[in-house]
Amino acid sequence: MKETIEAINQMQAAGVIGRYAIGGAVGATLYLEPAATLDVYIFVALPTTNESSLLSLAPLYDFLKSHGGRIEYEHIVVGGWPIQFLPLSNDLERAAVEQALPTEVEGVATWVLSAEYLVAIALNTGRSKDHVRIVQFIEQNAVDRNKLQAVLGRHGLTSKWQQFELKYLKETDE
Amino acid sequence: MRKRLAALSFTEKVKILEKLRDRSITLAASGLRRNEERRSTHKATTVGQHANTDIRLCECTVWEPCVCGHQPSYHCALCCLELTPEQFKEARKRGWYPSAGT
Repeated sequence: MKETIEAINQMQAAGVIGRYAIGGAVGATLYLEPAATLDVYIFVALPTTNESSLLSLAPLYDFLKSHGGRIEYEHIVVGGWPIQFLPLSNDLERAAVEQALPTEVEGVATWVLSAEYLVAIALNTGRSKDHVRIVQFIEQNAVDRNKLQAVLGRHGLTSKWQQFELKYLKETDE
Repeated sequence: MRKRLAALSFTEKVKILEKLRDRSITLAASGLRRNEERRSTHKATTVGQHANTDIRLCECTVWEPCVCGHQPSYHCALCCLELTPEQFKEARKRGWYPSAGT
C-alpha cells in the first residue's frame, strides 16, 4: 500500500489530480476492524481545462502507467493494489474529500474520508455491502451520530437515513 | 478481539488487509473448492439454515473466526469454510458475533 499511496501523492504533486481521499472498505478500515477487500476506492478531484468541461481519467492513467501501473478491467494496479478512481460527482463527495482526515500508511501521508462521510456516501450508494458497512459503523460506535445527522441533513439524505434506520437499525438501538 | 483489531493503527490494519487480499487471491487460484477428494460433507441436520443440502464445514485444528464481515455465514479465517455449530458456540463465548441469533 505504501507504494500505491506514494504513486498517488506523486501524481497529485505533478498536478495530474487535485485533492483525493481513500474511501470504500479500505477507508472504513481506519475506523473499523479490517475487512477483506480486493481493491481501493480513491475519490479524486480532477482538474478541468478551459477547452472542455468533460472530465477525463486519461492523464491519470497515463501517469500511473508510466510509473509501473497496469490496467486491469476498471482498475489500475499500482503497488499490488487494484485502484478504482472515482471522480467527484456530487456535492456530497466534494465535501467528503474537502473534509477528509490526514493520516499515514507506513510513514507516507494520505487522506481518508471521515467516518460520517463514509456512512453518508454508503447510504447514498445503497448497495447491500454498503448497508452492511453502515451497520458496522453504528454497532461499533465508530461514527459521531450528531455529525452524521448534520452531514445527512446538508445533503438531503435525512429521509433515506430514516428509512435505513427503520429497516436495519431498530434492533441495534434497542 | 474486534475492539483490539479496530484499535490498531491504520498501517497495521492495512497490513492485515494485504494479508486478507493475498489469501483471497491464493484461494481463488487454488481450485480448492473444486477438489472433490478433499471435500468433507456434513448433512445439514447439524446446521438448520442449510437443510437438505450437503455443506462443507471448517475442519481446521487451529481455527479462527473470520473478520471479513461477510456474515452470515460465519466462517473460518484460515480455510474460509463455515464454522461448525460447536465452533460457532465457542466463537460466541469469545465475544464474536454478538448480534447473531443462537
